[in-house]
Amino acid sequence: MKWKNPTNKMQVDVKIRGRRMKIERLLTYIYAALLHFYPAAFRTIFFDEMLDNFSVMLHHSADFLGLVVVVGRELCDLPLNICQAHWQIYKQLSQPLRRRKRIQWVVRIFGGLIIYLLISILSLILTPFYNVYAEAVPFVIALVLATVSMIIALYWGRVGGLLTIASGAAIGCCMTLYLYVMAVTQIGVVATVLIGFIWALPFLIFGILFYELSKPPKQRIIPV
Amino acid sequence: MSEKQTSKVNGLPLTEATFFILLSISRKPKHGYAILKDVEALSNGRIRFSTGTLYGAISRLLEQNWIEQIDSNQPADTGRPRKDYALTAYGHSVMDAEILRLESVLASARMHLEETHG
Repeated sequence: MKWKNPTNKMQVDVKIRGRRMKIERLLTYIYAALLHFYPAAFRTIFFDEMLDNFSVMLHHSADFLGLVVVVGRELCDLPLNICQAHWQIYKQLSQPLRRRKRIQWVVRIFGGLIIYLLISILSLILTPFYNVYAEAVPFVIALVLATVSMIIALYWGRVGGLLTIASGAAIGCCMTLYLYVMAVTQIGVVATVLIGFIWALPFLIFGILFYELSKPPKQRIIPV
Repeated sequence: MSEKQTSKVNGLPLTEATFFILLSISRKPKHGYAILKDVEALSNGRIRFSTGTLYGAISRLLEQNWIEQIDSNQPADTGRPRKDYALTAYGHSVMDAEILRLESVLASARMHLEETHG
């Protein structure tokens, strides 16, 4: 039997343990981030406990495969659990609050679709074949800002809403100026302004909706 | 508990997972991780909760007033104060009713099998 150097073995053990702890810490951070998809009322009560439990489960798993099993189980169950938690909170709301919540989700879903549309447009524009510098730099910047604002608004409604309104106004102005420079003689000033306004309108509407719906409701949510 | 009392309890029959959670904390209050491990042991490894599933169930049980949250004497490994969960009086009655129901189901099944096999 070959003799092994115990010092080397210990060093390897320490290294493996250190790496494992790093992985556990990283997974716990990711899990903490995912827990933010739960409703706030649920998180207030269970966030710390869930995080503690998860880190203990990771710590107690025997090997790397054990870690994968724990994480896999959590990830598989998470979407359904989040939906159930939202449903449970939703059931406890009064009728006006339920309606408000419904509108909030509709705005979020349509906002998400617009974000997707904007990202698609930007990915098309920001290719090497499209000479963005020569054509519409401010417009593209405004589009990027609108996309980012709407993503922010999905989570922080008030700030994101205001930013969406501002970026919507910027898009409208950019479009108006662009058309004014390029084709005002063909389409006229009124039409130019109108097209600019039409471009800005969806962002203004969504910005206002995000802002208004983020205001705290008058009635209190019944705790779980 | 009589049949009449059993029928008064809402939410029966319980799911297996809910039953084992209630059974786990029936003797003494326990924290989330202890319940998780206990349920796994009680069900011979058949039921393995993820953290999310366990706390979803706990949240529903709290809402139904079958269990209650109490402060634990021992803090968690992370040093944060830990919460334990204990059965309420109503929770006890629900569990008793479920045990009674399961016993009657089992008795019926045994009687039927005895008649069938002679």
